[in-house]
Amino acid sequence: MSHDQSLFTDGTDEGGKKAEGVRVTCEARESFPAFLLYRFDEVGSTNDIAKEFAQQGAAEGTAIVADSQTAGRGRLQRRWTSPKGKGIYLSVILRPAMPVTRAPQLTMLTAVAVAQAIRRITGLEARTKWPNDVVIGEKKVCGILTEVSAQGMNLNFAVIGIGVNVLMTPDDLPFEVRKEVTSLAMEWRQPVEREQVLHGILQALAEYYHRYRTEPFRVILDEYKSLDIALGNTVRVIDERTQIVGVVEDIDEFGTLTLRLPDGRWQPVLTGKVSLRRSQ
Amino acid sequence: MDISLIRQLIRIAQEGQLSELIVEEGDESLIIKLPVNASAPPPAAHYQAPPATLESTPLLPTAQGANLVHITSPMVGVFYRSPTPGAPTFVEVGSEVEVGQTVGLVEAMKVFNEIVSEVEGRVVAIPAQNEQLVQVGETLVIIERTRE
Repeated sequence: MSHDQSLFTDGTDEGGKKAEGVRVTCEARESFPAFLLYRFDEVGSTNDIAKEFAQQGAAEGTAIVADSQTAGRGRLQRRWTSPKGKGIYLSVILRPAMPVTRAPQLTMLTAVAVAQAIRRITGLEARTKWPNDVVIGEKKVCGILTEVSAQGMNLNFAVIGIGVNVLMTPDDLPFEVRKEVTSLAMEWRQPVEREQVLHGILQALAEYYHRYRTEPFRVILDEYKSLDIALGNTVRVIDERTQIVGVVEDIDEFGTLTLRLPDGRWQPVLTGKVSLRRSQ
Repeated sequence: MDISLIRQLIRIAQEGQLSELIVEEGDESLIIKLPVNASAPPPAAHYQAPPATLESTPLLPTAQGANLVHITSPMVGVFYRSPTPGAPTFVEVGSEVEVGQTVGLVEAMKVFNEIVSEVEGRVVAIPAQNEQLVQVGETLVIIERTRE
């Protein structure tokens, strides 16, 4: 690794902590030559920093990683627990030239990349859970929050936020989520290093992003579907105002879930929280 | 012809702003007809939203003036008027907006798209309801341009 400050010569000041870019070379060099990784001790949210960078013109591959977040968030600004030194709080800027309607594909390829990185490092059977989680068993170990900026119908930039629970113990997790959330340390029961996981995720992300740009998306979609725990199962999908129960028949290349309802109708679902129902 | 292929073809037709797309495969043929006006929603049968959220508000008939700019959705998704439930809305009718100011969010598959104004002006209408399912090209916010 070598220091590189070509993009932001002064680094970025966040909470009194200076950060400087560090170039991380990837094996999949065809995607982009390297990630330019900016490290912070503590930020509000790595996605917010990455969006600022992107709006200032930061190149594809610019990444923000923090030891802790004071305002990490999930869907609809829900809080993402980010205790210091226990997880990976990472945001990556991507700038693929494509219609913004394809943006969910970035979440899907990231989920596959994170699941595969976890499998390679730990051997654990990490899987995807529609739309934006990576799970071990049925417990969430990683959440992905993609935020995009569009110019007209086209994508200007995407910020892919990746939160991975690495070293958390049950005591680090809010009581109400302990049945639904886990960490690599809790599952693997062996020493695990955040740096190793971070680099494994960056390598896998570079690899899958390269494939995304050079192969039909169906290849990655098929992998996503083969890893997804909901496909083929009866689920309850809950959003802000409605609940739907049905069998997950398909996930299409735009991320839309197709549910078959009890009366036989098909229902496309764009968003919501999925929970498996075992009693069917 | 499976449903995901049909859905993909509809998207291709929408993105290309086609009025008609005919696909023939063996003995099967499929004709997709879309409204010429790109801002009109696609056939409801293919993209029905959950029952409680699927109503689409028609465009305001008064919003046709030269200085009125329609900010439309670049993707199918759920429209949010505020960054978090219960928080103040990004804009209200009458709000002054600058170029690049966020006026709403559209979410699909937990991908959040900040909808920004590309003009400086004043919000005159917000046809899209909070948490409403919106289609590609559907008007979300109408702004009266105050500076060229």
